[in-house]
Amino acid sequence: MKTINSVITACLLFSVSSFAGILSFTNFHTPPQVDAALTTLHNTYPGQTSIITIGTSYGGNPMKALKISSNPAVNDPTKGDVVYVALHHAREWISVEVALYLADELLARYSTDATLHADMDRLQIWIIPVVNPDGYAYTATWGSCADVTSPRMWRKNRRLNSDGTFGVDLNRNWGYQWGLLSGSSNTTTDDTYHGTGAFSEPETTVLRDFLNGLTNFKSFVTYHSFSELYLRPWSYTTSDPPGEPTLKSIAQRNINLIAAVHGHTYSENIWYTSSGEATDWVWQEKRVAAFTPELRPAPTGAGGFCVAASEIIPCAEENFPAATALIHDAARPGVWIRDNAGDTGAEPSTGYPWESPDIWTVPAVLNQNATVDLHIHVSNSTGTNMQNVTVDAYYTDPRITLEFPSPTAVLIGSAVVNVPPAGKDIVMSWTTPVGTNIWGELHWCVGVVIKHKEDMPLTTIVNRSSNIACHNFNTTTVVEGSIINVAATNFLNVAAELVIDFNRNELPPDWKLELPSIKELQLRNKILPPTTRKSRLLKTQGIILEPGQTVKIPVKVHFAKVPAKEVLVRIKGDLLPLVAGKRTPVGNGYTFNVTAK
Amino acid sequence: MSALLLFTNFCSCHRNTKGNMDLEPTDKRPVYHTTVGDADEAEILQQQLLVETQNVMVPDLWFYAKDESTLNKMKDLGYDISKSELKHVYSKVVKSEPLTDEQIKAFKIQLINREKDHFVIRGTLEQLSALQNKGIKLMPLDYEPRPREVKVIVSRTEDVQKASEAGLDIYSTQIGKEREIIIYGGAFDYAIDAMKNLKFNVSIIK
Repeated sequence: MKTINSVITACLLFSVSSFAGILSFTNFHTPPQVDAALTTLHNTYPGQTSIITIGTSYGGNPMKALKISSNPAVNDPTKGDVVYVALHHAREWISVEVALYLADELLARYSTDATLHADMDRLQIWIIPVVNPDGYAYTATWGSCADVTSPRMWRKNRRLNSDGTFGVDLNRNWGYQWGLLSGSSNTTTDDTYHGTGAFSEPETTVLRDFLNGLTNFKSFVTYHSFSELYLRPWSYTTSDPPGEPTLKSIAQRNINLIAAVHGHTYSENIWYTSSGEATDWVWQEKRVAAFTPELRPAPTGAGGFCVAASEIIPCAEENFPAATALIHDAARPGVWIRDNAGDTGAEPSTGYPWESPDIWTVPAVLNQNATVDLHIHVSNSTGTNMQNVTVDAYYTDPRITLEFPSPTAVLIGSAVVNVPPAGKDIVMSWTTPVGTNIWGELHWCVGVVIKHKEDMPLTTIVNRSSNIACHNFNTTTVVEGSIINVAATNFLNVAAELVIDFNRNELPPDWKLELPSIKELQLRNKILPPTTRKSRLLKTQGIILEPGQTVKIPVKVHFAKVPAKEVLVRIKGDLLPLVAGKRTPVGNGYTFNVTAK
Repeated sequence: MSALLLFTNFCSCHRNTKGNMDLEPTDKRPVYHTTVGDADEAEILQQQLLVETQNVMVPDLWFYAKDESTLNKMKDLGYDISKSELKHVYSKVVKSEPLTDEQIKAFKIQLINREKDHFVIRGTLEQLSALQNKGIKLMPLDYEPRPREVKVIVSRTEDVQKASEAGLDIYSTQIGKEREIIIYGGAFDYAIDAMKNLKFNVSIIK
């Protein structure tokens, strides 16, 4: 482990100490100079870049994105989208520089670094160096950090509020958990004023709509300063989000990568909450890995928001490997596990994502409180031995809407293995729970999460990451009119609509699955008046579940004649949160191998 | 250009014939009030019924409605709607002659900052009118109120959260030589008062 770390560190140091780009970072870029820098990059690399105006600010200033891709004129849905933004807060100038440096360095190394070249060819990389152009222009008018009342210390955008004051904190204006006074302010003069409503500001609306428009969103980084922190969701509360083990692993890996460059160890701890933050929204709405690096200087360092220009390059250098690590994670399957027999490692996978052939137990039929062998097969597409691969296995009540790790998933075991190019089989001992699942059956779902320093899962959603798979498969015998039970739990923090469907086209022609009516199912779960109103506003069709509610769905099986062989019955559920904007479904399902008598 | 806009906006308050500040609402559109479960609901209303949010402070939502049919649709959905008095809805940040704590409390004004020869305060148009009617001199704000740079020393990590909730905009936190927690940030006087009431050690740097 130590030897490998040393080798990785040495390679990184060698590569970052020679800045390969074409821009100058001897001073901070003024707003016009940022535009000029983007133009310079585009003119120098016309085949790999395009500049897109994604919208305009409150003051009518364009918000620009630099798209980096092997074919930037085409929006390719098979390529993952990784996004880096900077300057939500106007005074945090160094964040702009780190974003520009990232763009510059990626483009310069495209022709010299084979691994980066291959990664970049598989992705669309978006760099938005200035989220708050009005605020940025204002900070550049005059002043210094020595004068806290001067424009240089301005943080917010430049909205004229109705009471005559100016500005909304753009990183308190995002829609998830917006407006909590434990993490933002409703006083217009305050620097953390959250605005009149979620997404009240054009700047956040523009960025939200841009992210909603991405077809294969993989990761999100929003640069801020200062204090040398590397933060992850949640920001609005001290509680852990779903998927905390995954987010923590990525954050710690990135902190180590940053520290390896110039010895600055960014902390992952912050002692106060902030609601309405961008990364919370991204994780909640998209389940896409999202991080907030708070850049140099350290809390005890000199300069604060006005850090010296001489810090730009070392700060950008140290953040470069963490940024490219996320690119590498997003680019391709390294070590991976199949979602179903047809899975080739593509993200997202197609077909039913809960039928991993790479997860099985011996014996196959489970009993309660029984020790079984859990077998896991890990594939390796890198062509080289991947050492120190962590394989975490979980089990859970299979309540549709599964992600791994999820709040109810219980860790079966964790193994650290070496995976050769031919793949690796792992066996873990698993003692099944005492008793049944919540509806009285001996049926659990097993999920596996694979992590490696050079290949991290960037989500917890099974079909969106080749690092995660699950097996939710039950064998059952039915007669005409038998009931197969499925259940769904709303693991989201907001009320959601559950939509159920099954594989009617794959069933024998005389087979029919009878689901209870939505009305009947809804009676089992009372919903609160605000949820009822949201449901009516959004014209929902499915069953509505409050956060944490579970609904058991008895599915009646009808058939006229007994088929010659088993029938695969697949029942899929999707949870659609009751939110404004794009409602991203989170779903999973069941497969029953049914023997009819 | 932005400097010009800054001063233009600050000078949009006029004095009436009595020499008092004009505290009439400049936006005369009707504002309605209802309650929502959370901010998501306000957003969904905005999206689905094109309701324009004036302000959300959960559970309160103040909004402008496109037309009567929008209000009727909302009522059909179960919303209780009332028309708001504009002077209760709109606020202003103004300068006033120095006030006592009792006056601030009595008129339910929010103190922002105490300066040498004036206070910066915020109130609804009604609250400010009441103040003005009592002979308190109000003046338009001709500069942007800014926080003071402060250093706050606390002993527990949970106090950092309390300082934030009191209104401190935190720049950085660090551990001192005696394991105390030193917070640097920006705070208006109302927040400084709140932190002092929490017995935090607050010193104004600038």
